[in-house]
Amino acid sequence: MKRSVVNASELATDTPPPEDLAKLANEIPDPTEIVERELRERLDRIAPPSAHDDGPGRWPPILEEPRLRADSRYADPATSHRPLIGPVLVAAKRSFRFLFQPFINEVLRRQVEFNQSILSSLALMYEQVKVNAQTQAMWRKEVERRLEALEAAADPAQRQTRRLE
Amino acid sequence: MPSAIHQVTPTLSWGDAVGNQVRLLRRWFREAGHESEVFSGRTDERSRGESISVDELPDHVARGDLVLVHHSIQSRLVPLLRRVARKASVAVIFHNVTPPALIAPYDPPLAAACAAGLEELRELAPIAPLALTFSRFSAKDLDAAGFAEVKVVPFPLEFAALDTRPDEALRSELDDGMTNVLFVGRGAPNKRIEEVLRVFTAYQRLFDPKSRLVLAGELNREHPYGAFIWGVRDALGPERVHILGRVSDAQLAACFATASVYLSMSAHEGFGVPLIEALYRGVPVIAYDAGAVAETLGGAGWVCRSADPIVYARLIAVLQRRPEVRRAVIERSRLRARAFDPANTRDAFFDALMSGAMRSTG
Repeated sequence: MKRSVVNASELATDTPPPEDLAKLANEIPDPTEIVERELRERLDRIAPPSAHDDGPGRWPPILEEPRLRADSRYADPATSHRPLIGPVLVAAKRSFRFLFQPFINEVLRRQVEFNQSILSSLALMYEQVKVNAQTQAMWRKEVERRLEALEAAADPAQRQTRRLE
Repeated sequence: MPSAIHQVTPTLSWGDAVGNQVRLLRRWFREAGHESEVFSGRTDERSRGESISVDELPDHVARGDLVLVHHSIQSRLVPLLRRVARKASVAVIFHNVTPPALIAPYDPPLAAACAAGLEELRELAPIAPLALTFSRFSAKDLDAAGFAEVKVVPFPLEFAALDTRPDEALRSELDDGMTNVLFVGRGAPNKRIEEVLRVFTAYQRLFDPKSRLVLAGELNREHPYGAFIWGVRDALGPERVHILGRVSDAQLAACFATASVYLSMSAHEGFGVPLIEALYRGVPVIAYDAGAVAETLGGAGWVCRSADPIVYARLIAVLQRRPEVRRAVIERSRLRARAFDPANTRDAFFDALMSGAMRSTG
């Protein structure tokens, strides 16, 4: 196993100079190799949660649809399936929106703010559940490892007891 | 010389670095005879009544006034500032923006806000010819964003607040002969509190069983990052980890008064106020070399680029086992802290601001 060594090239300080500090740090008596190996294995098992596959800052896929609908001020483009009266209806809808959109925006402004705020909270809760699941899995594995180590240590003693019986 | 110097911040909070600085600058500007108000989009409970709604800013500014915009995250204020810039000078104080990739695994909306904050910085460049910041590290972002004039100024810091009397109850609890490793900061992913826990676990297990980790700063268990940190603590299993949460000035003073070492493993810092607090209070600093950390410490404290937690554990052990080295480091730390004394920084800050602002108004 590679033992940890303090390199002067990785230090930046003037009190004491890096070379002296590295020497002082490396003079500290080494812990036993078993202790250091066991510790390093434990430290290396800590892994931060992964970001979403589609890149940093992306919304969770389950919230993509609500996110697209959060801004309730804007409707889909006006259409009509009616053959003759359809174009008239579309023109009327467009005119209505053209005239009243600023008022619609103002009436719905607070609703939009509420939608966005709820959406942010939902995204945070989604991440909370994900991170909780990951840390619980990490912790469960750690407990299982420690249990295995305890059982392995107890085995020879149990065998000895059985032999004496 | 502008008659009024107003400040704009998206959020005015109690106890954070930006909020503290906004209050200090307002006091400085008023003492210098300028009219000065704070305009914010949001305030927390304790800051209510301290600021005016940012929507009212255009009605308050007059021709020749100066508006300072604190920028650290998406503000959505660019259109409003564009209107303000037609009659007043606008300057930016850049506190740096946390890289979105560091936050994304825990909080995608916040990561998106940080990405938008970097985009807004580019939009602010044509509005505000002058940009001030506190490190050469942050100045590079401003240069890249296209600001006409970028100045690195000393961080305005209230030293009087650092001399608060320590909370006696907490002090007596922590002052029991144990080695206290301290980290101060809000629970944000870029602070890498999990790395602080890894280093402390290594130190306690290998070199000093009688040690304690003190984490001061908001760390919400209901937040994904907080949940992760609690999970890491359980999985690593170090003893005596005190997660204090948000603390008062007196409690923070008690933490520093009893700290044996200040440990920062942050992956991104635009400046690092707690580092200066530690230097000022004579607590040796060991820090991971990221962002403006080395620049802030200026040779005081020990900065290291290693990714190995045992290396940092060894450095803590040197401080604890070599009293003569510890004494020298503390002396050097106090010397460095003097560079941030308001008696020295106030004039330098005003000179940079006024000369830049005068040039930008022509």
